[in-house]
Amino acid sequence: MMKKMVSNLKDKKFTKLSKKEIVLISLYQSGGNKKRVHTEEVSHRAFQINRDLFSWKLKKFKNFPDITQAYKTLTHLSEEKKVFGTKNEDPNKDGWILTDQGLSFCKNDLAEFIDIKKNKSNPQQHEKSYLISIKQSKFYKEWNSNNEKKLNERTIYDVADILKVLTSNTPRLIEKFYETKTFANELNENVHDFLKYIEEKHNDLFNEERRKEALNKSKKLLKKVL
Amino acid sequence: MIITNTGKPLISKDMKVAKRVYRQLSDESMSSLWEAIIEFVTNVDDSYERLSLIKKEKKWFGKCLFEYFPGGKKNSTVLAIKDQAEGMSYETLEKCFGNYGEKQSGTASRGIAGRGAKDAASIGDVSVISIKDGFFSQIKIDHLTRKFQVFHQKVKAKSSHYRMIGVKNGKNGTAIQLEISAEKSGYHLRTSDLIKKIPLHYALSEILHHEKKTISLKLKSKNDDSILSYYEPEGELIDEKSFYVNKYKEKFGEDSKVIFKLFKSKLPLDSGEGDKRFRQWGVSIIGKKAVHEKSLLDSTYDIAPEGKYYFGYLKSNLITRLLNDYDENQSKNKSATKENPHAIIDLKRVDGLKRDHPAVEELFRIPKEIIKKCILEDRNSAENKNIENENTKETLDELAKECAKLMDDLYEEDDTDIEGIQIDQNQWRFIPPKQNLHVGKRKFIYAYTRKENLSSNLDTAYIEVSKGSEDCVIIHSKKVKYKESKKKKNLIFFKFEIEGTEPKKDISINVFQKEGQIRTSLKINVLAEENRNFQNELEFEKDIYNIKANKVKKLKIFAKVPEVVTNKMSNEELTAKVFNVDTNHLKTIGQCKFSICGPNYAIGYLQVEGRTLSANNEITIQLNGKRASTFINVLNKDEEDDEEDKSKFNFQILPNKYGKSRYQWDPNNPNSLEIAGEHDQLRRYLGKKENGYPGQETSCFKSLLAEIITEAMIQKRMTLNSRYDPSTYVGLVDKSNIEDTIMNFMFKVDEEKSIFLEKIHKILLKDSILNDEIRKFSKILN
Repeated sequence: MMKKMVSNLKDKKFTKLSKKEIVLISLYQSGGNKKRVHTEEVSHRAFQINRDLFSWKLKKFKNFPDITQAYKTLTHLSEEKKVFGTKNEDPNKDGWILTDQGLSFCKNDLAEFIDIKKNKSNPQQHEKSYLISIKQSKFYKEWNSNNEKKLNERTIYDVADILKVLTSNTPRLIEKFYETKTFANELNENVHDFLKYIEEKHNDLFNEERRKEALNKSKKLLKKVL
Repeated sequence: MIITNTGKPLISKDMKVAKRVYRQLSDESMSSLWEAIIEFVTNVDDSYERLSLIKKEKKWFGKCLFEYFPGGKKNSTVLAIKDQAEGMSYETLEKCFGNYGEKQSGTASRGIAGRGAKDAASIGDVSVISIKDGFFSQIKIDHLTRKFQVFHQKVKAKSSHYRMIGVKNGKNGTAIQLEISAEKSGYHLRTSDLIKKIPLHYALSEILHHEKKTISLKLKSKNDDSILSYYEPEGELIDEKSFYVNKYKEKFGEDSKVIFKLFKSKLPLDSGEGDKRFRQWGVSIIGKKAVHEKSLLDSTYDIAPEGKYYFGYLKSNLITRLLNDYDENQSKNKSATKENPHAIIDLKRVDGLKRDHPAVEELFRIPKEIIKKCILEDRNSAENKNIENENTKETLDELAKECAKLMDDLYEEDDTDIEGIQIDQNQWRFIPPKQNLHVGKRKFIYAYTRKENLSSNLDTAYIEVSKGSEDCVIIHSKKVKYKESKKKKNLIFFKFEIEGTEPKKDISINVFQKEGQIRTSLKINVLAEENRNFQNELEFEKDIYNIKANKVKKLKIFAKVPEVVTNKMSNEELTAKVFNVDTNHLKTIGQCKFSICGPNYAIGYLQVEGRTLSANNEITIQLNGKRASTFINVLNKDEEDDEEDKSKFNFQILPNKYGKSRYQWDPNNPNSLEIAGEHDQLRRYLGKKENGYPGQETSCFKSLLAEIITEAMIQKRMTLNSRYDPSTYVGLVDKSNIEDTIMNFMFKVDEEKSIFLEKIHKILLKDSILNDEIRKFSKILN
């Protein structure tokens, strides 16, 4: 299967892409629209798309992917606010994820490149079912019918409830919110709008800074959070 | 009538009171040493008052020396109280100490019990020496026989007699001494307790009031001399009423007037460790002079947490007049009247005013209405606030602290890297074996070994600094118990805390389990202090300090070198001036002198003692033209002493509902646990809001609370661990076997539960309370 996928990538249309575009495509295809993807995984994918740009430079080592190429590009993309993340020795700390801006760029400007079979970014059945469960929740229905009185009574605990996250784990609550919002963006515009409403209402919790913080899973944080 | 008494009786005489009855009455009124002290001190005050009456002066003031020599297991405790008041002739001594139940205080306006100082003989031997008009007398009441013994009767006073009492030759005075044998347990109080509690005793609060005091009481002990004064709490006047008790106005005129004042403190006041004699809240009930009790006038108000903010006084001469009236009737063998059927106060001086006396109802009616209104208003205004009352809050805070400790193991080895480290049999190792530490900084050091390497029956270890370097490092951990390493399952570690004090290289810190046997050593370099980043050139370490009432705290102040302090400054120049101290709330002790301690700073310490509960007391110091200020809160002893002591967790019961869940962790404040008081299960146990959720005091609610907090802590622990240290739960998941995965998970939950369950239950439900309850339902036959 891998061979087939790689051969797909050898399509001539990929050769015209810039490093940044390849890295964005790699991140998207590795599932970076939904969750964090390790630098090595992005690097490996980019290497599969364009060996010349993402391998070691000496001819005899052309078969080795060069992680620094992908890392540098990810850093630049992070400055452009298209991706979030860091590279770290600790696998718990390493990872990259597409921002809303990065995701729209992928979907609008790179649409013809990102859609491949066996793409990790493709919505899974359980994700579709999950969005349906949100649509069926009372909270969603109140929002949909613009029932302001009821909506005013809703708290962050109701958000945690529909996201099925325990409130003892704030970073996971933030992480799960953005994961859900991202695939709602692709699958269901209404749910996406509903989540945008929640994001605005609880902007002290759901914002870029908190989302960045949530990426760090270093064990040293335990001492800080306790 | 069957028996008729006609004609004159052949003999008519006073009934003899058996010694047994006297002993019983005596013992009842002297349930602790405090009662004896109160009697001795109030007697001195009475004596000074009588002197002032003779001189036709309205006010009086005198000196009183309290000497205390605590004993204990082997030695007797001796206390003596000396005054320079009237002195007593032998006749007076005989009248006061040789009779029981006779009215004693003469023209002084205190009570009529006719008991008092001599009751102290139920605690120990009471000796009295006194000089009156140049004649010396000495008596004693023996503790065992209760016999009145005379040693000197009206002898011409010599200089040695004057010295014993502590008065100048030719003056009058008395000394009373109580000697408590070592066997009399429970009566040997600590000097520090006396210093702290004597001024707080309600009966002495007027006599020792810092502004209105009538005697200057000096406590002299082995190590210290202190003048004891009472400082009332700071508060806002809430209500003030003056009224007459009409029913008694005709007979007692102006004396039936009542003055009531109620104040409210911003902070909850101290409950005197549950001993109502020393509580700070409450209304002092004062007669002409004596304070008879301190309470909120009704036991249901006394237990209301909202009541702990209120204090004040109710003053009426009627109390004293009714007492005297009853006494007179008794002495003249008249029957008691309907309006004054029995003594208005408890003559044993334990319970204060007797609620079944008809005058008490009238005296208390209006003040009680006011207090009740205040409590109810406070209760209603707390609509959206927490459900827990002061008692529950105190327990929740204790639980939060304990739970934080129980989570320590999640991160405590965080600073050490032990990957790839092997520890063999009989080997102990500090990891890393060489470390650096800056002067003034604290650090944890970890000594690792294997469990089998421990000395038999010893699970503790301690550290010592090698000889010659003791001044360079302070050890903050004494004997510590080992903990199992989470990073490496076969290892255990001992965690010690040290602090650098003087720069030096290659200092050895040795670990011992037994004396003389070094297990391992750490080489440490103590490096010179780092520069301090100043916000201001002269600054306190903290912006706000919390100090317990009656405790002293050292405040650390930094001064920039050379801008504020240089090494050329004289001693006088290095001493800061202190301003703005509200002496009613705070007391500064000693001087605040600076010395250069670091590369760019000098340090000075200002010692401050908290006097009365108060908030935001500003203190300003000045050094070399620069000024710095800080704020100090004086808090109750049962409140947090300082921010450092505060738990990282915060537990509260809120009038909220979170759907099916009985609690939630606040995502914006991740260590704050909110327990859902409106959850059906909790509401059932808590009871009604208008009654102050009384169910929270029941054992069944506490038991439910223990389970909820345990569950919440497991949730917190497992979610944190799974996020930041997922290796803890490796092995739980078996994708091919869901049944086993669920079982593994349930076992893990039980394992984590065991960390919290016992401790949480024991804090919420104390063994003694639980045992009492169990005993109630035990069907043991006698």
